[in-house]
Amino acid sequence: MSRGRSRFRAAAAAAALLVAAAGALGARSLLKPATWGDAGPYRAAAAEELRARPSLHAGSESCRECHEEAHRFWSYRAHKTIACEACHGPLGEHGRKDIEPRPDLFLGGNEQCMTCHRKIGGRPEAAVSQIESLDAHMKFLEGKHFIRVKRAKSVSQCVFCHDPHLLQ
Amino acid sequence: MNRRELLKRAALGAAGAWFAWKLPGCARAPAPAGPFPFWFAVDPPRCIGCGACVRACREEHATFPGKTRTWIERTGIQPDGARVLLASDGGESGFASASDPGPLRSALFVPKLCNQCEDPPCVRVCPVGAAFVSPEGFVLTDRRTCVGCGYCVQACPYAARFLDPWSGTACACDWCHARALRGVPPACVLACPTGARAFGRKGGQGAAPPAWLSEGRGLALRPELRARPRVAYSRLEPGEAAR
Repeated sequence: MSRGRSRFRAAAAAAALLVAAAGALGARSLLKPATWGDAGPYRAAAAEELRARPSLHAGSESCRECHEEAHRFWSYRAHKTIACEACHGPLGEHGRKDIEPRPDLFLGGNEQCMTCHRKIGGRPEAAVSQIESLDAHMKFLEGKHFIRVKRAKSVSQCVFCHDPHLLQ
Repeated sequence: MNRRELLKRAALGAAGAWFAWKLPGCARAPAPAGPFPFWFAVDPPRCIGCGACVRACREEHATFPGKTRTWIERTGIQPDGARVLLASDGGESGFASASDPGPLRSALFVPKLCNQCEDPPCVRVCPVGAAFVSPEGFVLTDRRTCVGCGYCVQACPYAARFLDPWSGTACACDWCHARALRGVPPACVLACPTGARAFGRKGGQGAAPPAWLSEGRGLALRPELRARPRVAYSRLEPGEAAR
């Protein structure tokens, strides 16, 4: 092999390496998301985006201003440990000052009550009063000749007899 | 060494350096600004299995139906003392005895959620840096970077992660970190009627930690895996944890 030819090949190899490196750098700048690596091996903007997520549950204190009476009764009755939003659903949006409050509050009906008050193995009796089922509860009340049973049956809602805000 | 060999080695070295620079796992994460400022305490004996936490979590995060970021496990103790994990939907619709395998002597409820590990396996295995540790120390997931490979789902020792069928990306509880940084508790803690879940900031602001936690009697789930989970449990089934 002549000396000139060998030099040419070395130059060609070096050029190929340079082109490859430039291509890799170019590809990296195109593929790398913005703010990647600013704070660590991740997209730094992601932390900011996740932090900006609004709080949908506002907490029971935020209900007091408008629903003072319900809040006062609730706050010293049996259900005082249960947050408003545990039954009524998330109300952060509802409580915003700049929009009309949503009137359609979520109420799960009897099933909502039964999530806590259904008698199941392992649920501590001391912590929460429990019934086997709504039917069994009605039968028990009929046996006691409870005067409201007939009317309660026509409505068949727990809250007809047991106001959740007023329960002792 | 001749010229050809030199060029070959230089090319290999350059390619290696570029890969090391490109791979997310090889970049160094800066040390966190300080110790993780929050605590999360779970007191299983207080849990009544109402599922309010699971429903609140779904509403707060609009999770895919049937997938849950937090859940309640109900363990039945049969008359002969054998323990069996009872099937459920994670407690979202409460629990019912109808699905029990037979008569039970008693049962236990254990609320579960992401442990926000100090050495999170999900972050270690993520090939694209979508699972990451925020400057405050929270383990978060970047939905825009995630490619949905599911490695983190397999790596999590607590089965806390899942692929969101809507986006195909990984999803997990983050202790409602946006709320926590605003000074309000996570949605599940807010909804819990019995105080089985408690959350607060270390150092006296807000809720005080329960006595068992401040006295150092908190238990960790599966500590032998060395992920250093941060959720403290007051009591756990034998085999599930050690101090």
